[in-house]
Amino acid sequence: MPRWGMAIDLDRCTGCQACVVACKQENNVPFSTPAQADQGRQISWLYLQTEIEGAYPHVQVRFRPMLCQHCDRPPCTFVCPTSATYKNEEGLVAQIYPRCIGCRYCANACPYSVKSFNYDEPVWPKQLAASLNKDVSVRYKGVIEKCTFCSHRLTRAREQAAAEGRALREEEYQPACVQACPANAMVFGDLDNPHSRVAQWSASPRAERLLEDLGTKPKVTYLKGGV
Amino acid sequence: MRPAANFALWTVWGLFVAVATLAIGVIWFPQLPVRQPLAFNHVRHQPMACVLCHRGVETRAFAGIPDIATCLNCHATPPVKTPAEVATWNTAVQAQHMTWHTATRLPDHVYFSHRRHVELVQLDCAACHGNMADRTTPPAQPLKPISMNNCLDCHRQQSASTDCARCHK
Ligand code: HEC
Ligand code: HEC
Ligand code: HEC
Ligand code: HEC
Ligand code: HEC
Repeated sequence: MPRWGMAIDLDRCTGCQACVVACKQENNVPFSTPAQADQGRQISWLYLQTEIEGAYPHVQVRFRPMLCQHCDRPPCTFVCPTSATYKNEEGLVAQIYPRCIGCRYCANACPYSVKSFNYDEPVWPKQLAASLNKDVSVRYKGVIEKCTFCSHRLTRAREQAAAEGRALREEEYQPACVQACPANAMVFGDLDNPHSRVAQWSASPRAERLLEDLGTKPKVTYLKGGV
Repeated sequence: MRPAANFALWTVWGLFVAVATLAIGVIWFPQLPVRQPLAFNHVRHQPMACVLCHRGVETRAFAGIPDIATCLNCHATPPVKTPAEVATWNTAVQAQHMTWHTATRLPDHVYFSHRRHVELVQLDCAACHGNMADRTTPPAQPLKPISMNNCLDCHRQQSASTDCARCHK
């Protein structure tokens, strides 16, 4: 059974936001209005966090793509009263929308603040309504949503592999952000496969995991400090 | 009993019956019956392979309902008799489109693939759709109800996955 994870090299990231756009497009993430943003109610599965290190004149700016860390010990699933969010056997933290009652416990329990609540019914500009991705449902008012590592792509890839009568190849399942990154700053794959790039990157001496001391065991690794 | 009290009692009783009937109706027929443009007859098309019309069953997620172009391969003249149906047919031929509806529908949050079940698991259509092949009219309701339990029962029997995220998208 694979254990899916991601590694992001911050030294390669140029902050171009291609991943952010790819994610929004792939996952039917609704647009937010300025009013919603002012209230902190924008919905994003993946966003770039700007980090400024050092003091003038030795300042360095970094961009950190923030997404669900798909923790091996996710705080969000422990507090969900309806098991709408849970971790499956492949380590993906899933969100089952019809099961979600919108209590927002999980969003508050998440130390990475990567879960968004639908305060309003999503609105799509007419021109875009036809380009919604059919493999991902359109969420509605009152449910929590977050990055799924594009798990619908896993279902598709598994089906294709079954149709060709072979085992799933790791590289067939890539989330949209990883695929879109022009700087090859993101890799994705099976953390338990020692030959996979993601496992090698994750074991790098430059690797760090966010808020690791909380014991959440995140499966997203960031690399930095190599330049 | 005073007539007024009697009247009130009957009103309450009447209301109760009305609400109960409505509730039973909603539980029995959870969706509105589907109305089709024509009384399509599956039996008359029997020896044809289902995939000739439902083109997606072996290769795609959606089975698909054939458009008028498929029908015109065989029907040079309207195969229907009543004037209303002939009119519908001719309009569709002109517009090159006939709008069929489906009684069997899943909510937006479920992913279901015909290829997975028909091509890869070799399931019979009847396992999920009941005896559509012997229908002489379009069904107003699915012949076999679609429910999560039906999916899960078979998935457990055939040791397929029961992980929520595999079906829910
Ligand atoms: C000549 C074309 C044709 C063939 C062949 C055909 N169908 Fe259909 N099928 C249709 C049309 C048109 C509809 C929509 C009208 C209706 O529901 O009857 C339909 C509808 C259906 C539906 C959806 C019913 C609903 O509303 O939920 C099922 C299921 C179905 N067919 C199964 C089959 C099966 C099984 C076979 C093979 C035994 C088959 N069909 C062969 C044309 C065809
Ligand atoms: C492969 C050829 C073929 C295709 C394609 C086809 N049909 Fe037919 N259809 C037939 C035949 C054969 C009959 C039977 C004629 C008979 O029994 O007199 C028939 C009969 C019918 C009838 C009359 C049924 C009745 O009760 O007498 C209707 C209505 C009909 N077809 C509609 C359609 C529609 C709508 C489509 C497209 C979705 C379609 N057909 C596609 C071959 C075809
Ligand atoms: C494992 C169960 C299952 C099997 C087997 C199955 N279907 Fe379906 N079928 C469904 C479900 C569920 C839907 C509703 C799909 C939706 O709404 O997304 C459906 C929908 C349909 C529709 C409606 C239109 C559409 O594109 O979804 C048709 C037509 C259809 N099936 C035909 C067939 C035929 C023909 C076969 C056999 C070759 C078949 N199905 C086998 C479960 C099944
Ligand atoms: C009659 C049996 C049967 C029914 C009914 C059935 N399935 Fe399946 N389904 C299977 C089998 C067997 C597999 C495993 C296919 C494989 O391993 O290649 C499967 C696989 C799947 C998969 C792929 C899972 C994966 O591992 O990626 C999905 C998604 C799925 N089914 C959804 C549904 C849904 C939704 C329904 C109900 C509408 C349903 N199935 C009803 C037998 C069934
Ligand atoms: C084999 C596929 C499958 C699996 C696995 C599955 N579901 Fe479902 N689920 C469905 C289908 C199909 C429906 C839609 C049923 C309907 O329309 O009545 C559904 C509907 C639901 C609903 C909505 C019910 C309603 O009334 O709207 C909830 C909540 C739900 N599922 C939760 C879950 C949870 C939680 C899990 C994991 C424990 C799960 N499902 C696993 C297929 C599945």
